[in-house]
Amino acid sequence: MIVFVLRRILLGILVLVTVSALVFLAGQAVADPAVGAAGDAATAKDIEARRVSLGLDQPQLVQYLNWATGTLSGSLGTSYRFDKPVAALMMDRLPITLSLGTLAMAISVSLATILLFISARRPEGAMDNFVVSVASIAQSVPTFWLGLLLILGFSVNLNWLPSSGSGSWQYFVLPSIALGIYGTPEMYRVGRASVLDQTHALYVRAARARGNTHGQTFRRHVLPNSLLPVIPLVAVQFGAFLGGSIVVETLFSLRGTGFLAWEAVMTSDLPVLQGVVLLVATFYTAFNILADLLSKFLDPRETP
Amino acid sequence: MNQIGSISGSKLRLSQTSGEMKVATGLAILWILAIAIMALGVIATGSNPFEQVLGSRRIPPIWFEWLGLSNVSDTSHLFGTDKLGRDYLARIFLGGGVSLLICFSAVGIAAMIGTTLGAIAGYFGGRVDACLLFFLSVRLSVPAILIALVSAVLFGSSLIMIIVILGALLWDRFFVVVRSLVRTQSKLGYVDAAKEAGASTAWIIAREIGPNIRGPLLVIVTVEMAHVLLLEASLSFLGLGVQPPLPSWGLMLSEAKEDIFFNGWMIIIPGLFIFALVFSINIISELLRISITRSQGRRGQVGMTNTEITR
Amino acid sequence: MSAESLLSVRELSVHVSSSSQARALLKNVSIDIPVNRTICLVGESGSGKTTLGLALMNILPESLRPSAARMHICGRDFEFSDGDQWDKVRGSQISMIFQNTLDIFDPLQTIGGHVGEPYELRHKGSRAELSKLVLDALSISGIPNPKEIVDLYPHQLSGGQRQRVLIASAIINEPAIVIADEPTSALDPVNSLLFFEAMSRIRERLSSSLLIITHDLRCADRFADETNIIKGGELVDRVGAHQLLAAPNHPYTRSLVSYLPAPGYGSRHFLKGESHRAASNSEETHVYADCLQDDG
Repeated sequence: MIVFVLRRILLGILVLVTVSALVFLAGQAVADPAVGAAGDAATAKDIEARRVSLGLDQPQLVQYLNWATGTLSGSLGTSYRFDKPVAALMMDRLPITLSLGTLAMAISVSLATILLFISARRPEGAMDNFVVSVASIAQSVPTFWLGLLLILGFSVNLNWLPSSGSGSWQYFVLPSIALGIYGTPEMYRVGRASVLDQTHALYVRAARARGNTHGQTFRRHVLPNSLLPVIPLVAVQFGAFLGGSIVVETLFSLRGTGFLAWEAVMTSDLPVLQGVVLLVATFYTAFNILADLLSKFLDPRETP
Repeated sequence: MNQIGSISGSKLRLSQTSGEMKVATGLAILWILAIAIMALGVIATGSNPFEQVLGSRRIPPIWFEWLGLSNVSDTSHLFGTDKLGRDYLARIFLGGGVSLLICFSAVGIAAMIGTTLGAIAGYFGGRVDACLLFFLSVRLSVPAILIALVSAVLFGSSLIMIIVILGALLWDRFFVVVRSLVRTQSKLGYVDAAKEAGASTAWIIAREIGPNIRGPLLVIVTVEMAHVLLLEASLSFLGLGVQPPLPSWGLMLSEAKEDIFFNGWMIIIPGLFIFALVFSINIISELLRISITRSQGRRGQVGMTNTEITR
Repeated sequence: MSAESLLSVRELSVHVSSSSQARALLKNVSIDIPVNRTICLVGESGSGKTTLGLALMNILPESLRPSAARMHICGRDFEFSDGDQWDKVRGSQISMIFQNTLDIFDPLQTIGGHVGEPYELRHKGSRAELSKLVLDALSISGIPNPKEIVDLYPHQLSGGQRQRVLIASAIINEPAIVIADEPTSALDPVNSLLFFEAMSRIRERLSSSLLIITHDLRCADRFADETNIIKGGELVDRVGAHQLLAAPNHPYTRSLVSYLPAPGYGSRHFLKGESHRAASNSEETHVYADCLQDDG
């Protein structure tokens, strides 16, 4: 079992290393960083000097290793635009993204649970079909449009909540709702499919025969078995949310890492982008590993 | 060659494949039709979607007139005009056409990449499979939109670039589904029979396994179409997709954002169109899924060896 | 006769309610289970015996519709439509030992949890009390060291152990009626006999009545007080104790018996208690003949 955990983590590390290599190469592909770093008024000699000082005359692999070790020790380069360390910039923005992600996740899970309870009472019934349609509709709605509608409704017309920016908790309400609604349909669908699978399982009949009522059968047997495939999905989803939603943050001008990425694109600030990509990849990979481990450990049939 | 054998062979192939082929052909026709309608629509509005008439900016749609909320609207601009005086309806039509074009092309590229890689991984298994799966993990460790953003910095944002990037990003679901389908199919008897008959690998994959996975593949195509549309809309909204003066519904939404406080209608229309298009595609994919699962009982395991019949 | 019966059913029918023509899996079956008796129900595959067992506890799948003129169980009349009254008696007054497959178990439930559940659902006793009852039930069912398996999960047990766990959960509340649905189909001849012997012991100890659905004619003949023969959803014959093999009158019953190989066939291999798959298997009727004979 320990072997499994270690192998999984190793795989994750390999993935991250590959991503970092690609990120590094992307950095090389764009305009000469020496030019950017030397400034607008630099002469050819200045640029050359810069190149040496930045270590750009070294072979690619050496450059990569230098860069990689620097990254691991926390230095991710300097932002072209802000002239501040990338790591510092990201740390500054991270709490907001994490808050948004967690809030949105809470909303998603709650909504999905409520919908599931409604559906599960009478599967394939009128209410169930209705909820499935609602979920289908929600999946077809572009998130940024939903955000815009929320702004239109609650900021412009009702003036209850701010439409953009960062600050107190009010600034988080609309973005969390938008992002939360985005994450709900998938969770609901998988949960519903899982419940449907379980209600047709043979042990349901045996449970009834032992004296479980319909409700008891559901609570004691169907529900735990249904949750089994859903939990890894939730973990992956959480990783995605924590990785930041660029679209929602940018729409609401919420100063998180996603918005930072967008700003970096607008100003061609590659070091920042590289940093964000690495950060997001780390979150995704970590939570994917968590999901794999969870599905292995929660099922007694898997745990040796 | 046995005349009877070859006739019945080709007939067999037709009936096997006619179901999905019909849908695929239908879809292709629908696409071409849609783009054509878009083009016609632009012409029909009588307005040039690019022409800026600064004198008539931000005219509300015709129904504002009907509801008595404005007296500036007129029938020459059924959906009103945007902030630069361009006819809204014409831009909606053109934007739709552009989005559909991107969607179709990108899904085509993604399907080719994903299906090929998936078939290889599923058929050969072993190291090749492990390698490709690792490749998949790397791709999935960063969300598509972020990669698209980075690509925008590296390669710019032309129409071709968007198509290529989206196509190069969204092959993952094709890969996963085709891989698992090919894996299960490979274990069935008819593949061994074909191998014994001396068929080459390419033949087996294309002509033997191929027809048996067309159904689910079609479902994935529709699912990814919706995916591409939403992704392209998001990118255009962020300013990194379709570039002005070309319209795109996502781009129109971002342009409308500035006016949200005074001209709310501007954000409702393009969003509604995006939603309507994506929703109808999702419905199609659901219907396809249901019909596929229904016919799977009959056809899933029945893979006739084409090799035998045409000998 | 009806007054003494623990279970009395009249004209029980079960229909498949699909869109195509409704098919009747059971047609107007009437059956009685007297107090303290072992009743066997034998028939070929697909004759409707399992359906009958499920119907008697009203746990048929949704797509099947039961109906009966009368369902009288343990002194009360039952309607198929009234779910609540069935919940009260299932697991406590009437219980079922299912065919032993892994799927019949909730994979997330421990053995102890599974066996104790019928009791736990009804009584608010202490943990220690429940634990003792569980261990007792497992012992009676033939598990030598119950403590070792209570904390295990179903997939960790052997087929034979799982069979006994199913018995244990069915008897923990000391029900009046125990229905066993083809309990020995997956068992070798030695374990089949052991099962029937265990059931006899249980019957004596708990004074329960048994309804054993089986296609093992030899065991039916040996252990049943009464054997009902079912064919195509209808009860065609009824014979008393030890009369099944001896002198069947009904042509169908005779034909069933005739497929059995000669007595003692293959049984000499089992003398030393070796496990063995069924010695013969009629192509047509899947009537097993793997019960040991006294003279084997």
